[in-house]
Amino acid sequence: MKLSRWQSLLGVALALLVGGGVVRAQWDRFNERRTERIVRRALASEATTPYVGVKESRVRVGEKWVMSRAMVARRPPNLRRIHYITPPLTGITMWQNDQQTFRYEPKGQQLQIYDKSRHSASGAVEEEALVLRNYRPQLEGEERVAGRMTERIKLAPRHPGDAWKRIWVDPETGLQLGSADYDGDDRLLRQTRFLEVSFEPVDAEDFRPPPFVMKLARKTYSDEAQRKSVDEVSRILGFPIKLPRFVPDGYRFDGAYTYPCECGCEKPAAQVRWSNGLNTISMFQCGHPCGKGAACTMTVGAHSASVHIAVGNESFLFVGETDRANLEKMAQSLKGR
Amino acid sequence: MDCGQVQPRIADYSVGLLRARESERVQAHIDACAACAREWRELQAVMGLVEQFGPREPPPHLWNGVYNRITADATRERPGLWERLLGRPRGLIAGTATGLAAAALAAVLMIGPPRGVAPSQPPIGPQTALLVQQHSMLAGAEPFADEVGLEAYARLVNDPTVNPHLVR
Repeated sequence: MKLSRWQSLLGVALALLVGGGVVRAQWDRFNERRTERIVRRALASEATTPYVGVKESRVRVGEKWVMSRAMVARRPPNLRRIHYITPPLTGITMWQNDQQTFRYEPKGQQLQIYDKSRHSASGAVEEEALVLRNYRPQLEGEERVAGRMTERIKLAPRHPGDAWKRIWVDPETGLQLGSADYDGDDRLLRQTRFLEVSFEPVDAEDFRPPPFVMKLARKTYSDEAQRKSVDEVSRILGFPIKLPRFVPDGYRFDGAYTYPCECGCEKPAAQVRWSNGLNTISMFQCGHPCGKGAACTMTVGAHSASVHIAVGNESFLFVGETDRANLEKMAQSLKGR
Repeated sequence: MDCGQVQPRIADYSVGLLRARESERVQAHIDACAACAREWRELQAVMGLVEQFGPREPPPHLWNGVYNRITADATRERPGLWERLLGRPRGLIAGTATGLAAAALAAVLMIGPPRGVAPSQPPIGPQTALLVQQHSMLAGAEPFADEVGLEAYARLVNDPTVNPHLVR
C-alpha cells in the first residue's frame, strides 16, 4: 500500500518520538548509574579519606535559625573531632574513636564519656544497599564549595513523605563537602558546608581529650550509645519492650539502647531505633506513667518531629524527621500490644 | 620554626600539650631566639605566681593559645558563603547603619529563614528536648550524617537561651 506524504511524515514523526523516548530513557539510566557510582564512592570515602578543616552549619531550632562554625578533623577509619568556635557553642568539643565518644563542655568543665558499639549493626555494603534502595540519586549540577568544584546530588526519597538530603561531593576525593537535610514536606532543617578543607592526615593524638581536660573536668560515664538487642534491654530494664506493628516502608530495625527516663523518676527507659539508610526514627518507652501522674497526650499540630502516646500505664515518644503521619501511625500501632 | 609559628604554641608547650617532635622544635627555637625566650620566661613567671597563691589550675589565657587565635581568625569579618549566595550589593548593606548591624547580628546568630522553611513548630518541652537530643546524637552515626549540624542541634534544642519553650 502506498502511503501518502502525510502518512509518511506522521510515521517519521512517531518513529522520532519513540526513538527519542528510548534514547532519553537510556540517557537517564546512564546518568542515574553514573550518579549512583558517585554516591557509592562518597559512601566509601567516609571511611577512607582524612581531612581537617572548618565547617559552617545552620540549624533550625524551633522558630530560630542558629549558625555555628566548627573546626573538624577525621582520621580514618574511626577517629573524629569537632570543636565549635563560635557562639553559642564556643568551646564545645567532641572526640571520637571506635570505642568511645567524649563530649566536653568548657562552661561547666564537664566531660561526658560514652561507651559505644565498635561496629555498626550492618556492614558498609548493607548500608550502601539500604541508602540506594530508599533513595534515588539525581545529579543536579556543579557548585563550588570551599574553593573546590563539587557535584550537587539530590538523594530523592523513593517513599513519599520520607526526609531526604542533598550532598555536595568532591569528585577528586569522593568526600562530601556539604549537605542539606529536608523533612518529608521538603522543608530545610539544617545545612552544613566546609569553608576550608585540607586532606592531610592529622596526628592520632589530636583525637583524644588533652591531659588537662581529663584531669580537671567532671566526668560522667554512660553506655547510652551501646547498641543492644531488644531482649537484652528488656532484661536490663525489667519490663517488656513493646514494638509498633507499623514501621514506615524502607526502615529497618537498628538497635535498642537504655536511656534515663526524663520524667524525674530516675528510672531508665528504652530507646529503639529504625533506619532507612539516611534517617532514623527513635521510640522511647518509659515503663511507667509519665509526668508525675499526668496523662500523656499526643502532641497536637502539624510538622512536629515528635509524637507522645500513653498505652496503658506506659508512655512512649516517637522522634524522627519522617512524615509526621508515619510517627502517628507507629504510635497508634502500639495499642493492643 | 620562626617566631610567628612558635609564639602561638608557647602556651601549649608550657603545659605539655605539644607532641614530642613539636616540643623539641619549640624548645630549640626558644634556645636560639631572644624574643621568644623572653616570652617564655614571662610565662614561667606567671605560672610561678599561680603556684604560689593557690591550687595549680591553669589561668584562662594559658591553655590552648592556638584555639584563641583560630577563634579570632574564624570570627573576623569576611563575606560568608551565605552572604554571597544572597547576593546583596555592598552599597545597599553599607548604606544603612541600622540595617548593617541587624544583618551582622543575624548572620552570626540568627539568619532569616531560607526558602522552603517549615512554619513554627509546637513547643518542645524540657523532657522531650532531652529525648530529641539523645535521638540527634545517635543519628550522627548514619551514612552522610551532618555530624556538625546534628551535634549543634542536640545541644541547642536543650538550651533555654535558644529554645524559649524550655521551662525549668
